[in-house]
Amino acid sequence: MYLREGQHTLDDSMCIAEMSNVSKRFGGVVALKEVSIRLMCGRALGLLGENGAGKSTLMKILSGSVSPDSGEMFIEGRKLNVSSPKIAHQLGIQIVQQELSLLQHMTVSENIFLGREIKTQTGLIDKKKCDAEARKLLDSISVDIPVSARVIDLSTAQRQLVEIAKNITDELKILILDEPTSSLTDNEVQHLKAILETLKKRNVAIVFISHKLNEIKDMCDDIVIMRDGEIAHVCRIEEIDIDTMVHHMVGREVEDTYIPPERGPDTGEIMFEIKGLNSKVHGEVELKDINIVVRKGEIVGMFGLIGSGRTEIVRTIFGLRPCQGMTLTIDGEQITKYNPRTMLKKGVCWISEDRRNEGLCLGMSIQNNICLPNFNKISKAGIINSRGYNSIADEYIEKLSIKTQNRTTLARNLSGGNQQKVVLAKWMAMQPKVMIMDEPTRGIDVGSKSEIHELIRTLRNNGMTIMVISSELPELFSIADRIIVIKDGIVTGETSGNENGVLPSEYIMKLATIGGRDQ
Amino acid sequence: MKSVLNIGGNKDKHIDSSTHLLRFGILYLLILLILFSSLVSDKFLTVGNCINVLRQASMTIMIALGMGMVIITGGIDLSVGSLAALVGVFVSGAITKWEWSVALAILFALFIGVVFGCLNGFIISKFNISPMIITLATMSAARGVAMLYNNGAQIVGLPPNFTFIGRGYILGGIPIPVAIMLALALVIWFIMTKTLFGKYLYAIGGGEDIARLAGINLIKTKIMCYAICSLCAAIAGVVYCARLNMGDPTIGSDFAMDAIASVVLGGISLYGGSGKILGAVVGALFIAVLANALNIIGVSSFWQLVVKAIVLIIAALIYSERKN
Repeated sequence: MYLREGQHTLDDSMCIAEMSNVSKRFGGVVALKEVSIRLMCGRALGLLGENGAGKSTLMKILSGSVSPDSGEMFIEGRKLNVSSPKIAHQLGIQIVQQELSLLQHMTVSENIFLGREIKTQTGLIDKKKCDAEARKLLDSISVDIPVSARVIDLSTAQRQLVEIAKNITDELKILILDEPTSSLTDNEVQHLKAILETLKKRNVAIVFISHKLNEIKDMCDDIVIMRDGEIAHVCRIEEIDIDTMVHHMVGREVEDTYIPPERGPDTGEIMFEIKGLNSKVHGEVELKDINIVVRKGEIVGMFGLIGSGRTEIVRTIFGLRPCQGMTLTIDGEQITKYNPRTMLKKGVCWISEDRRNEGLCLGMSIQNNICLPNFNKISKAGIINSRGYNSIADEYIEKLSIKTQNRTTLARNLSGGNQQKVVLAKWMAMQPKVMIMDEPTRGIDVGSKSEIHELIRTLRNNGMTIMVISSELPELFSIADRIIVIKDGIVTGETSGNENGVLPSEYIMKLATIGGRDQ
Repeated sequence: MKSVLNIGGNKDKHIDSSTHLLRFGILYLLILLILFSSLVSDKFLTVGNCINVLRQASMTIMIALGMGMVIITGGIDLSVGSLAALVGVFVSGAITKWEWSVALAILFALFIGVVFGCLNGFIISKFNISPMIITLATMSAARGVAMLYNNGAQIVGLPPNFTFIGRGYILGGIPIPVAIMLALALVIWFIMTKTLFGKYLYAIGGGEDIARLAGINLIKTKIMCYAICSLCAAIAGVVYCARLNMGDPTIGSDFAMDAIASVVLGGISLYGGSGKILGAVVGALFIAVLANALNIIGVSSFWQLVVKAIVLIIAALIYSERKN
């Protein structure tokens, strides 16, 4: 492809899809205002914007599941009057949603060919041929998952790859990926990148929605930044750096997205200690002799790739996974029973990475979500004191500046960032001694992210002990005093920085990927 | 309240008005139905008829209140009808055969209900088995025991101080079943809106894992919930038995389905986690008023079943439409 210097729009013949002056309102809310974009063959377009900027709506219109109020769409130069997911499908437009749409109990090949099974002459499904074709497809993007494996037995990352593979057909012209990397580790992201390169060579146009700016920088050719339902900025990737991207996304400078923390004390009273944790469950990573010490008023980061066993450690101490021997001491007291209730009583709470299933009841109000673990505090003889019920909710809505009209708004109607703040609020209101946060900023826009980081630092400064699990190193660098690295269910090392107090990223990455105990 | 001028805020308001309809739609429909019926027939809006409808609906409402709680946790209880029959047989037997006092017999009946519910709740929560299966099984068991007790025969000869519960009036003309139903509705409403137990039920329905991580004792809470549901069914069983003037082991085969229909009409989601408990009351009233209105107009009871089906399907369609 030939590009002249300074030329923003590419040759018209390369344009596979054009959306022109597309507008969409939901009730009284303007989701899109006269948005125009163009997709080019064989190029990846990074679509950026804070949550609620309109990226997903725009892509839903392109893939036919939402119809625009006004505006025009051209696919390969032809005007598209009506669209539906089926028409979009026929035109070769595929979307990979954030939530995976695989059937858990079916095999990889059954999932790939769902709805377009290869049939024998008698009309039965030709399983052999399906499997062979699925194998060919997976090989073509160098994914080595067995086609007869059931999806339920795959890791999240593998499922993501199957989901993408499912959408790669001969007719594929446009592939839309909505935050494909939010659950992938760096290695897997590299794999995804390779897959996208293969697709680009086949002249597929790719739209890549992500909050991870460095990945966009790494994988995309063009950038469209949206803000409040409008296009804020369009350019080629080499014309922009990450700070400028952030600038266009938020419309204001976020001062120092990452602030290096003032390091806490290395010595202090032990708040939380896990000794000799061993846990073996069929089909999951085995945890071997885990020893972790967390001191009072410390933020400890726990880093590991997906499947390394980070979350499993927490699940084990909360009794959600069987263990074969461990000693857990909290604030000098040895714990004998492992279940969520005991942990909460001892002042340890856990913010799960799975916000939808373990974080907050979407159909309940903000107030009820915040009060859920705190009801016994605001009730007498089982009857809720309505003053406490309201004031606790209002207090934390204000404290965390949760953007909402009132406390009775359903959690479902909040943006991802605000939902996460509600989860934080409910645990903060418990005033625990120790907070374990699993991916506290996953899928959250840049603005909310730095707010949550700030909040975590404030909590620490007020004396709370915090453990943050994350697969984003910059996040841990910006808040953690010390980082523990987990790989394959083993603590492979830990670091509290070199003599300058700087956390060594290469060293941590090595521990997480290659391992090797630091002895 | 602070005014927050953001896009999200406007969106909330929009959604609030549609959830308002979702929550109270059935109430408006009930009012419309009453208005319409009273225009069609002047026999409809008389004190006598109103009391009659309320009395007819009161047993269904009692069961629907308990069912509503269970459904809010995302569960279901199919055994309520058989339990009502079982309780009716045992309370009659205790009074006529064992010659217990009426008060003691009733207490015994309610005790059976609570134990039965605890058993349901225990098996469901402890072993994490689908409530549909467990209550289907206990439904069968309860019916069996009810039949066994008197070889499937009805038990008659109940004293008037017992049948009074089903047939008498208090406070100058309020049927006792209606009074019991109102009291029960008040208690359950209080539990569901003012107590932490009620909030926990919503939380369990909204997400069991979330509830567990919030330190809620799932087993205890669920056992209590099923126990209250069965207690409601036991109360209904005693009242129904008193009204029929006999212990009949064959009654109640449609109680569970009527209660579930009322709950769904009342806007409580079968997936759990949302809905107002009084919706179940309004839903049951709606079915009763509809049946009554059709009766007065002279529609045959066979056609009434068809009309009921149509109403239920329309309601389900409206709710699913609104949710999308």
